[in-house]
Amino acid sequence: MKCEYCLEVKNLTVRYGDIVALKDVNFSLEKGKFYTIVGPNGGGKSTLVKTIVGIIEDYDGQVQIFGKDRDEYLREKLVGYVPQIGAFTRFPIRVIDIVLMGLFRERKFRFKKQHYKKALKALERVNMEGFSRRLIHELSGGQRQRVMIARAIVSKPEILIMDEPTVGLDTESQGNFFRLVKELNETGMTVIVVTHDVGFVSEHSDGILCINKKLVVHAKDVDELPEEFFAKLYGYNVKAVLHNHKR
Amino acid sequence: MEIFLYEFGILALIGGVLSAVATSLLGSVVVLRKMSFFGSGIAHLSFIGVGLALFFKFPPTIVTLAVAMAAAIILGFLARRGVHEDIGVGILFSTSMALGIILIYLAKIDNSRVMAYLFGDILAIGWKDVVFSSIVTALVVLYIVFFKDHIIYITFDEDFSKVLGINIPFVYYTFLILLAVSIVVSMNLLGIVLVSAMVVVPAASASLVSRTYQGMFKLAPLISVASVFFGLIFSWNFDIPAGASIVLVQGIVFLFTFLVKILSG
Repeated sequence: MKCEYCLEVKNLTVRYGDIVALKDVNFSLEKGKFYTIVGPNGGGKSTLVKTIVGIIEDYDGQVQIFGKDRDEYLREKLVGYVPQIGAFTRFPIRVIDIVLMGLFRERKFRFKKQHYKKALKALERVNMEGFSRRLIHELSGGQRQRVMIARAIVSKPEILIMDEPTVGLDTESQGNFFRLVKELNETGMTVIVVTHDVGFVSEHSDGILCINKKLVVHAKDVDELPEEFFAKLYGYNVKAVLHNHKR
Repeated sequence: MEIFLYEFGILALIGGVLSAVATSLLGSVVVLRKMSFFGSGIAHLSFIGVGLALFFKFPPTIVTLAVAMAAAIILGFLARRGVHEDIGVGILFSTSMALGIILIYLAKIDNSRVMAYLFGDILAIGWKDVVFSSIVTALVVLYIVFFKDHIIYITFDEDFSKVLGINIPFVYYTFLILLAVSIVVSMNLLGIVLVSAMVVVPAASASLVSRTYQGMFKLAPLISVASVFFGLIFSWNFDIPAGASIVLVQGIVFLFTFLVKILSG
């Protein structure tokens, strides 16, 4: 049976002890599209992402990926995941070793030549081919983010999820980053980006999920949302200034 | 080199090298995970085991092993719930020593025996100790061969390790248990007071001059083995305690690598 949706979330509730991080979230996402998740800090965006990629194990409700139960799907394939950019203490790990992490499940005992070739190709894909032997903490924020994307895409996932990938990046790096992500989406990969950049949301994405403990709204375009919507979502006055100056 | 003409010298060298390999390999993970206090803490917590064994007249190695493994699991459990390994050790460190001292006092044990536990005696180890060390070192080497990447991934990015489906509790607790066992084995050589140096110092030296974590895993055992070799020679030539001599050599190597690091910019 061919599945219409790449991701279906039904009645998803996630708790951290007594704290409810997400409550009865329902949505379905189509294959090959570009989605963004927006919402206030502490609103459950990262929890949602971590539940989808398998980091959070305990939850109520259903998460289906390409029609399969999440755990069943994740046993066979990875969902590409780019975490929030960390400070990276001086951990002595090379860029190539980080990208190889994404191929960990493909290897039997140790990484072989074909794994290194794939890792180098992924680095080439994100324009970081000359950096494979550099240590991660020697790179700038934007370069680190590209390495993390290379790690996420090296196993050729069907879905790529990024959690606030542009935090701490300068405007130019953000622009480069979004161009790269758009290119990946154009290859047929479903892309989901958690972001606060509402302007970006309107410019690039095919759909918007607004999360604040529960799914507030699932809109196709930022223009569908009323003017005061983001102010209500974030709890303070927010004006969506679009990159293409539409609003 | 004269020391190696005698059986006790050969046994000390073999035991020391085995212990050096095991502790430095695990020590590399300890240094990368920034839990250097843990080794010292496990050794001191094991003092309860020494006290219990002497008080109830049980075999000290078995009781100490059991206590060290239990301590490692408890501290690991606390760490998985947000209490960093070193904080857990800090809480239990002095209490366990105090309890061990009280038990030994009540058992009315000769001071020289207690000193042997505190400062070890690498020149007094027998073939039984060497066999025991061999088994432990073999297990540690196997762990590093099969699970080095796993524990490094968990250390570097635990969330992504979960995404990869790595069995984090298994990898983490196996590491802690092997660390505890290696420390207890090395305690026979260097004693409770000095054993943490075997875990931390060679790996810390290696971290200063190795660019990558892979380099650390190669260099730390070399430094540690060389320290045992030269430490034993210096101990014989200058008639100083062997365990302290080994640790002193490790300290000098650390200072040297630190200077190399500073001078090379």
